[in-house]
Amino acid sequence: MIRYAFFIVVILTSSLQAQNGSTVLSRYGIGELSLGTTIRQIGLGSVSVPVLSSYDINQANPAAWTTLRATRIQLQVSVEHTTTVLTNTDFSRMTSSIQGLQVAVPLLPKQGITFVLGFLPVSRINYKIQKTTMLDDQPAEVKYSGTGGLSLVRFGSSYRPVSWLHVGASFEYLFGSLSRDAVIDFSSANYHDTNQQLVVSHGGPRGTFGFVLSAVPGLNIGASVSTSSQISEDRTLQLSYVDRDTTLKVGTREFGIPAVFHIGATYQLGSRWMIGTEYSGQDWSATVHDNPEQYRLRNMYTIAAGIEYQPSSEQAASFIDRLAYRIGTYYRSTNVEIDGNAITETFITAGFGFPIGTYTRGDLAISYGWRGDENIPTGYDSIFRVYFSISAGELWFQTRPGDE
Amino acid sequence: MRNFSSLVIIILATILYSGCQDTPTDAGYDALPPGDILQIVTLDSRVQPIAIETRTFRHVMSHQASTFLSLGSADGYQAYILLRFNIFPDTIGERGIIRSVKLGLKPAGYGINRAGTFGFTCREITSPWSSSGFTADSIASLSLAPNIAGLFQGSIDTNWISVELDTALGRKWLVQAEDGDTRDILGMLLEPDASTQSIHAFFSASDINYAPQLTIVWEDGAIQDTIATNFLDDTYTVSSPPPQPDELYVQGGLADRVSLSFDITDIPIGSIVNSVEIFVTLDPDRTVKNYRGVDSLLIVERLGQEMDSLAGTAALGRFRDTTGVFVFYGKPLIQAVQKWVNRPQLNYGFIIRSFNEDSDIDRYGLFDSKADSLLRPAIRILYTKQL
Repeated sequence: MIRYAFFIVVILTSSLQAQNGSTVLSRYGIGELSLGTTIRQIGLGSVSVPVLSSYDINQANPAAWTTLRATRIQLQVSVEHTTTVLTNTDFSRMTSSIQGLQVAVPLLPKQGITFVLGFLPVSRINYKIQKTTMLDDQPAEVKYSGTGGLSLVRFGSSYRPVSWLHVGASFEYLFGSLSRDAVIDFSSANYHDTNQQLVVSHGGPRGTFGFVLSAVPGLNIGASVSTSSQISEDRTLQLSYVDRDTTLKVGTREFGIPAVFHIGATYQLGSRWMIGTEYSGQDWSATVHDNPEQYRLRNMYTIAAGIEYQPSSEQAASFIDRLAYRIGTYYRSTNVEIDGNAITETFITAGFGFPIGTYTRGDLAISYGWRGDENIPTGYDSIFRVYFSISAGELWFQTRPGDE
Repeated sequence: MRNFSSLVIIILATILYSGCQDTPTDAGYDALPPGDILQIVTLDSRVQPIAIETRTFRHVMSHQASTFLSLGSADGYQAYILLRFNIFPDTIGERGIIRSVKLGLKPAGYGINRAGTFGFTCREITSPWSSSGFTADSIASLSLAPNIAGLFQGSIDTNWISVELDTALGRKWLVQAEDGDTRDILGMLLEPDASTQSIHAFFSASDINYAPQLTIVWEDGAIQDTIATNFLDDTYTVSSPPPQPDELYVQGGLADRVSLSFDITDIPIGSIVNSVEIFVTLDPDRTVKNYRGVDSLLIVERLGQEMDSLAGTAALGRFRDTTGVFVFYGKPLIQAVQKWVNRPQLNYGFIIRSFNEDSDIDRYGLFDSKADSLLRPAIRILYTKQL
């Protein structure tokens, strides 16, 4: 466990350099919103809230922590390749990111009491635009970029009062900064370059509550709600003058992040097959962020479905039998509207899970999706993503089978 | 198991580091909200009239570092030279006979009305002075010996001239050197005589090859020696009637400078200044290039109410022959204008002076703020508004 924890810290630290431009859509609202699912669940088309697991620490539904076995640390990472087609041109870019880190400690497994501490992404703003132009008869590079995003730290617990009911709750604190840089690089040394950086910092709490009903054999119905949150918004503008840099406080206020809800179901077909579906939504239509005159956001919703096949979940089974195979799809109407058109995205996903020793498992998922339209300013995106997660487990506060 | 762990690490590292590739393009530019787009604005006083103030004023200056020493009288200018040779042998004193004391000056080939008559006298200075801080106004307070120590009359070309000095003066300096009183050696003033109608420039002590020279021929019995020295402190002064404020020009030597200010309060406070260009048009009819006539002027920010309160770094203004305009640009101007944008009360304007103000008595006539819109001084500022 310590070996994995050390490795994860190193990876987290080093990956800070690995954030590069993605889509200009992340400029809107608080940025491109995270799916809020694990890599196993992405393989399932992002079906998340009804999925119970012994190793996979659910991000969307604290109630699903009741079935976790062994103390776990779980890290998720992803890499994304996007090709954007505009009317007369196309271009590609790659980005990578940490998709979350959670630690789960099952204190009383029989009662489903598991405590979870987590650090998860909520959104990211991540774009780079560069335009060569002539200003004042001088060649210049005009650059716009956005970096940062919101994350959350959470602390929560699950409980299983009766065998067919799983409940959970977590306290979450959202925080982070959205930074937008606007730069003009003149090629002539007789010109002073423009460099303006607007940083919008947020911070505020919210809660997430969820349940999973297992009243009917094989059928799990899950739901979760993350409350709306009034978070602080501090804006600072940094200006680089020819002789000094100046930071201006340009406003402090509160900003409302709307509630998120998920509802879904899975059904176990025999011991090997599981199917699932889910609907989630977050109504941003009443939310105004940043500059009310410029744009408004819209209602966001996601419809997902997926299938998982796992020959055996027994620890004594062979490596091949303990592999899990998944396929899924999801459709999302994002919270961004461009020129009156909702930006939607459709993804097809696939993945597999594999054991690493007795208590550790890895998951790999890929997804291919498309978004937007060639005739809108953000273009048509073809997106290919690869996800990987590792859930490292050790028995704490519990006896190993056979040690009793 | 160990191999599998290594595989996991490799996969993680590959995924995270593969995102480092990035080639930004202009795709998505049209999707940026209008408020994100930088607004570049030009303030051009030739297009958008703004208040401009110009004035000529005299900056009384000393010339201790001047390349040339000007001497003579012409066209209303009066120029004097002060020389102090201060290193002599301390072993001669009263001994022997001084056969001759000669002052050598090397003409630089520049001057005013150089064909005019030229003559000057040399007189011992008897009051303390220093080239540092000695100005045209200081001449009046200078004490001089009643006797003339040397006299020159003649034409000047580029060859050395030699002035025979009173040997008693040479003896006095040798005795002072022997007594260790070299600080009491006060040198001499070279003063144009009444008939002089020209000014000539001579090389100063800053030119090691052509610095003024003092040569003393000394004899003691069978010993004859020549003492030659060009170690000296020197300066010159030049004076003329005060400038007319409504006539805009810069002139070296005196030195007459131009104060130039623009009302730039149309630029919003907080804007980032990207470039500044200042245009000043030369009036050839009022321009007299007696010396090197360098086609450059210097501009520097004025820091306060006082005319000599100036920023340390000047910007160069190059003359564009095709348009007859001096164009000033560069970081010092951007720094000044940026300061005025954010703190308008500090806008005291600029001071323009000639490039060789210290040494060259050249005059550059300039069109002032009341001139035709194409000829008057102009400013062009490129700036970016705050997001």
